Amino acid sequence: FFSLAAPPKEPVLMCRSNNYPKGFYCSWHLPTPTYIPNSFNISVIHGTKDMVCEKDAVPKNRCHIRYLQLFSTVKYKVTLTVTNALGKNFTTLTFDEFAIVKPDPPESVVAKPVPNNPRRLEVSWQNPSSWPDPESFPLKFFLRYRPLILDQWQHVELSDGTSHTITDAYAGKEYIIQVAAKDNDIGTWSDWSVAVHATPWTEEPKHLTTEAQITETTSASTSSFMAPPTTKICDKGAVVGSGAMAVCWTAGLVVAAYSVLFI
Amino acid sequence: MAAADSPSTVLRRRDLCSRGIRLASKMRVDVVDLLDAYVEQQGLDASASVAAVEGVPLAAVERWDEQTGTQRLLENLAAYRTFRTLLAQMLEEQREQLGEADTGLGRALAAVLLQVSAFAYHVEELLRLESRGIPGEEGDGPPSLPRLSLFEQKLRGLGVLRELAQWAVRSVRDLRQLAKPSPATGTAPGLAESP
Repeated sequence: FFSLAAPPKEPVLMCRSNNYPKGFYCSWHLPTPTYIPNSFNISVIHGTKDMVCEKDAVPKNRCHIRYLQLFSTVKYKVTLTVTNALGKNFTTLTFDEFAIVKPDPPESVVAKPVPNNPRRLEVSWQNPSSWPDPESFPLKFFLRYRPLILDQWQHVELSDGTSHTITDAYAGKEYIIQVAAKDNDIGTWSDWSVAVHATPWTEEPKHLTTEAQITETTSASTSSFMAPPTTKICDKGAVVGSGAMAVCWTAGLVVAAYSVLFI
Repeated sequence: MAAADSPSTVLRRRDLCSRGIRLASKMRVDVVDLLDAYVEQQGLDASASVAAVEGVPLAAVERWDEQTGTQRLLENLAAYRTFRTLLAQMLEEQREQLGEADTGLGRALAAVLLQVSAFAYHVEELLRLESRGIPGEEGDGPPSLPRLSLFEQKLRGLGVLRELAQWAVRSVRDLRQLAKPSPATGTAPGLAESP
């Protein structure tokens, strides 16, 4: 056992403000275990002022500081020293107030189909509960979504509000959706929220009768990407990418076929 | 307790605040770009710590959330008036260094100076709306400084632009506070006289 015991390597330290403008927290860990007890001491200096970083009960390797000043250009210097029976090591982080602002991800992300709209998904979310004053310190959001069958994400940046309607979803395809948040003016983007899945509304399958079978056979050859009758068929916005012209032609042929049947 | 503001006052305040927020946000973007250009052209180290320069309004504030609306407006006005003088000085020094050549840095400085002046005027409008007297401009400029060396001028310029960038963020926050209606009186929070 004692041959495994080691002095501490340089600790890994991170500081972040997820509750701006209240304060920030710092957390740390050792890159490799020492196999003997370690003690950690953290010091925070702002200009010439020593600040107290109050240790959190849980987790143990974390402490938090309340901002005494806002909008300061003076940097914060945080030094973490780790000591054990075989030695000590330390690391220092220097940063300014704005640079470490990173909200937690948005919460309660919900995505729902929109009745009678096969290309739409309604997404809503809430500000992270750790963000203390979203009215005075509003967040902006970044939404990303893709159908499960594709790798490429679509992105939308939203400067206000906590909801968005996706209007270009592929009909009938299951989507994965995530949201991130950032203070409107400073700092960096949060991690992505928990992913939610949703599939746009589709028309209910009709019961199989003779007439229905004929109807189904006639429409069986159309692409699943074709815009339904409720959507403007040749509206560019309703049809995705380079398939737009092909879909317009296909729809035109179907309409023509029906017209011939009823003459 | 102050009487509730008239609906037109509330609307006018909200309008002024939202325009002010847009002004300050744009100003911040331009100041940050100017800061990058300034550091590069003056051959400075972007990470250099600059001690607080005498006469440069510090954006740092304690108990910011406890400030009244009037305090916010008055502090903003004093700061931007001072920045107007400091930036004009920087522009003059720039011209002395480089002659009358129309440099990109000079143009960027002039553009920010214009925005600072516009924002100061905007704050005056908000103070007028609250029927507050506009303080005179005597004493808002920096104290007269001894002639600085070229290097000292550059460091001061760095300090000015850094603080201005912070002030632009603070001003956005201040105006958002001002725009929030008080649920009890309908007055913007902190604008009512304290008892």
